[in-house]
Amino acid sequence: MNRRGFLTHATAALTVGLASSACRTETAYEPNRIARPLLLPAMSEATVGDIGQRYMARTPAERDEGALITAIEQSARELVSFPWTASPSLETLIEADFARGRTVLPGGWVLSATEARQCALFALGRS
Amino acid sequence: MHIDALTLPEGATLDGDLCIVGAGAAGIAMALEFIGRPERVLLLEGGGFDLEPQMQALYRGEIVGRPYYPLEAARLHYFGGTTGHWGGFCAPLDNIDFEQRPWVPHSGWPITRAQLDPFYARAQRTLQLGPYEYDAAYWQQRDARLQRLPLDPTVVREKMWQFSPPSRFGTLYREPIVSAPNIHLYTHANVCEIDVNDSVSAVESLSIRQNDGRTQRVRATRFVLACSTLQNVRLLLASNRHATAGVGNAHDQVGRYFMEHLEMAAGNAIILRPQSLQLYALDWGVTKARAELALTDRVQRELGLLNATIAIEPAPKSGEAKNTFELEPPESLESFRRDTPNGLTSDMLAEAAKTPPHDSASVVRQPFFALVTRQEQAPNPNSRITLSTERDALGVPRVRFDWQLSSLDKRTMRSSFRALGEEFGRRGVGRVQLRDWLLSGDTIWPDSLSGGWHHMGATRMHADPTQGVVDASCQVHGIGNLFVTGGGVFPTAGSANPTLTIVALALRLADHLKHTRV
Repeated sequence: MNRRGFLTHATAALTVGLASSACRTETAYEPNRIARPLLLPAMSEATVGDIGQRYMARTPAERDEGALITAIEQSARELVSFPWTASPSLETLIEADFARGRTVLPGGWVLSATEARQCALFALGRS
Repeated sequence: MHIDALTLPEGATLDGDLCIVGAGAAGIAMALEFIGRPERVLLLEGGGFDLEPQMQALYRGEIVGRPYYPLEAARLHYFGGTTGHWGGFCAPLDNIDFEQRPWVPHSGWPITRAQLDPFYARAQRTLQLGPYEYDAAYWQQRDARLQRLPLDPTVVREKMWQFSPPSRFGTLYREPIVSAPNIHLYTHANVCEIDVNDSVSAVESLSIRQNDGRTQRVRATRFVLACSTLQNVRLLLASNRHATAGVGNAHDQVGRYFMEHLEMAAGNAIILRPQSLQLYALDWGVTKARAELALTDRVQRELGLLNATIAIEPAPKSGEAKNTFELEPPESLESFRRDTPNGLTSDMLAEAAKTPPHDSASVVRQPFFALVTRQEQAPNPNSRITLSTERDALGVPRVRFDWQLSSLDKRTMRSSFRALGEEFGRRGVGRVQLRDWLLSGDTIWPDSLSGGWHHMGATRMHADPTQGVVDASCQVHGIGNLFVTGGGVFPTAGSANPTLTIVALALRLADHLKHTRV
């Protein structure tokens, strides 16, 4: 799947995910942001891609875009009090991961689970 | 005054009130304290004023445990000792280092940090350091560029270091020692045996041996072994004529609990927000004080970890940062010694002065850093110095060096880096990466396992003679006129390089000897 195809797929998957969680706007996470981790400006694309690949290798249940986005959405749902509350930003999700100790170590990097999933989405977009 | 022992005739006897064996940091610091006093002090140094290959070869040993640096390159056998090539890193041990920590077997000193504080303050002067101030706030008040990373101070604290020029004791203190009428410095005076009385309760004399077989005898009221951790052990164990297990070894404690600091580039970091790192930077010869990061006492207790610091170092231009032993092979260390007999050269200082500021713009341009840890190892009775079957040129058994680590050592390093990584993430400072080998099992270490050339333990201090070699005053248990000083008496190592503590303990022992009589 090329990058454009992936993003289209990600948008569709996210829309489905959001629809299933009811009432949140489908623009909660823009596809071109969810697959671009905040680490990207500081790290090379190769490093981020490698982190993503390592995350998927260690997390067999999250080896495709749908599963990754669903996992991010699940984390987001846990942070909101009511279904109609706006989805937290990706930055908020990452902060919450660190606050709750939801960290993973792909490639030895101590990352929030959300940003590791973002790295995986980025890796899929490159492949 | 100075006498070359090579000029002494066979059978000569030297008499004094106090005999100090070894003229390194501890021995010289002690001798300086006795200048101008009524005691006649004999200061015995095995080497000369310059490094001599045949003297250095006496330090060779057999390495049988974890891989280690060549022993004859790790310590210097001449006047001034290993201060001839040390780097000048100084910091006191922390309060927690002196405590008996339930999660660290065999931990606890019989003295407290508060008891050592006055001697630390005096040691600062001996080592040409600044004021006895190791709070980051003190240094921040004097330099606005020194900003803390916005980390939770209940989780991560700044461990401050000061930097000696570095003081080369062999150059710096040669004149005051040699010109002191009551200090009798004997070079080329290699002590090969401690002669004790029949009841092994007192030292009667020491035997000096020369390469040509001549021997001399040294008599004194009191004796202090200050000839480095490994050599102190060797001398005690090899002196087995009356005490078959060695002097001071009635309870099989001599040589046990050898400790090093683990100095390893165990991780990397990326700083994600503009932030000055001046507080954490080290420009050799320019920086007076800098901080390394350490988990607070509370976190150490909660996670059951040893003490450690993590330095933020510039990432190498290519490849991974190297561990200390890789970075400084013996030939490099020897070049450094030769090039810096009076401390760093003017060229080195000029180079350091040109280093750009470690400001936020610099960090934005280059956000990658190496993380280098200095970590204590858990006291381990099986990490041990014994005698080899091989003998040196003077007929003394060489050291058999069996350095061993425990699972707590590895777990501490992994957990410390992970805890720092989580705190960097929580605070949005950046991200931390652990090296692959750090994530492997608790007994697995990389081939590049590295210490800091810090030899501690093996003649440890403990109130109970069944658990240590010397008591709280550094007197060998059961032998009223024999004392040991140096890194060997440390019961635990802390995370700080040992020289400041070695000098502080030497000054404390000097005071003790001044104020007590046999």
